[in-house]
Amino acid sequence: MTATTPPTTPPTAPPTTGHDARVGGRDPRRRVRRVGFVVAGLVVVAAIVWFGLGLLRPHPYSGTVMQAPTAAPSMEGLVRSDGTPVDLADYRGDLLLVYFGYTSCPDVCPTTLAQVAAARRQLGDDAEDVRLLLVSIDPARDELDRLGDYVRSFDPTFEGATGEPEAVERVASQYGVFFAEGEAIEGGGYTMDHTSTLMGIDGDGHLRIVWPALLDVDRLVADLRELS
Amino acid sequence: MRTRRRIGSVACVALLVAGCGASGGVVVVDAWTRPTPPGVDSAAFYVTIENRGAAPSRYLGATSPVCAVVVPHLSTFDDDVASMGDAPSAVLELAAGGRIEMEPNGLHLMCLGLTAPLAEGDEIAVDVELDGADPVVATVIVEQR
Repeated sequence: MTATTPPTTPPTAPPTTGHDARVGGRDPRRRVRRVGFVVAGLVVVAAIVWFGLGLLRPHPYSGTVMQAPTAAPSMEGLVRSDGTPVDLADYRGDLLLVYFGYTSCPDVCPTTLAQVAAARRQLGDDAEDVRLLLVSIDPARDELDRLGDYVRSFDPTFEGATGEPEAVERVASQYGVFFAEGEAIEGGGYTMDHTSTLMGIDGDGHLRIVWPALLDVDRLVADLRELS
Repeated sequence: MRTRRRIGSVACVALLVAGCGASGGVVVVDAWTRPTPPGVDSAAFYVTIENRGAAPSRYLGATSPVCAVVVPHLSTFDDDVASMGDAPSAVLELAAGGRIEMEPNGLHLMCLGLTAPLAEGDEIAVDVELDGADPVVATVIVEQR
C-alpha cells in the first residue's frame, strides 16, 4: 500500500500540474484511509456472500445419499437381543443406523461400532433419536444374549438382532450385503467376510444413506446432524 | 478426546524411552487396544514399531501372557467387503528407518484365546521378536480410542 503512495513533493520542486500536486501531495493519509474503507467493505461483502452461499450449498455427505429413497426392506424373521422381533415401525421418527457384522470380529466391526458410539457422544442431546442396530451375519455363534451384551458395551442404546440363517441371508441380500465364512483362524474359529457399510433409515422408514466401509467420525457427525 | 490424545502422546514418549533402552534401534512408538466386549476372547492390538537402527529388521513373532497366540493379521476391503487374513510377510519388513504401522481397519496383532477380558486402563505386555535385533516389549494400553 505504502509503496504505491507517491512521495510527498519536496517544497522546492515546482509542481508539474497543480491538480496532481494537490491530490498526491496534500494528504496521502486520507487516501490510504479511503482505500482502507473500500477494502474493509469488500471483505464484509465477500463474507456475506460466502456465508450466504454456504447456507445454499447442499451438505457434502460422506455417504451415498439415495436420490429417490424407498422404504427400507423389512427385517421380518430377525429377533432383537431382548427377544422381540425386529419391526422397523418401532424406529419411526428416529434415524436408525444398520450395520451387518458379528461379535467375533476383532478389528473392523468394533472399530465401526466405536466410531458410531463416538459420533453419538459428539452429538450430545441430538443423539437421542440416532439408534443403531447390529445385524449379526454369524447367527451360529452370536446368541442373542451375547449379541446384546456386545453391542451395549459400545453404547447402552445400541441393539443387536439376528435370526435363522435363512432369515439373515434374506435380509442381508435385500440390503445389498454380502457375507461368507472367511479364513480359518490359527487356534480355532473362523472369520467372516462381510460388506462393512453403515446404512441409515430415516424417520419415515426410508433407506436414505449408505456410508462406505472406513468411516470418518467428524464427517459422520456432520451427516447425522443433517439427517436427524 | 484431547486429554486422551495427550495421555496417548505421553504414553508414546514413555514407550519410546523404554523401547530405546531395551533394543538396538527398534522401538515401539505406539501400542493400544480397545476394551474387550463381554463374551469376546480375542482382541486386536495396534502396535506401531519403528526401526531407528542402520540395519534392516523384520517382525518375527510376538507373545503375551494374556493371549494363547498372537498373530499378525491384515484387514482388507474390496468393494466395501471386509476380510481378515494372515498379514503378508511384505508388510512385516522393517527397513532401516522404516515402520510397521498398525491401526484399526488394517494391520494388527490378533490376540487369540484371551485369558481374561481387557478393561479400560489395563496395560498388557507383548514381547515382539525381531530379526537381527533384541526383542522389544510393547506395553499395550487398553483404551477406547
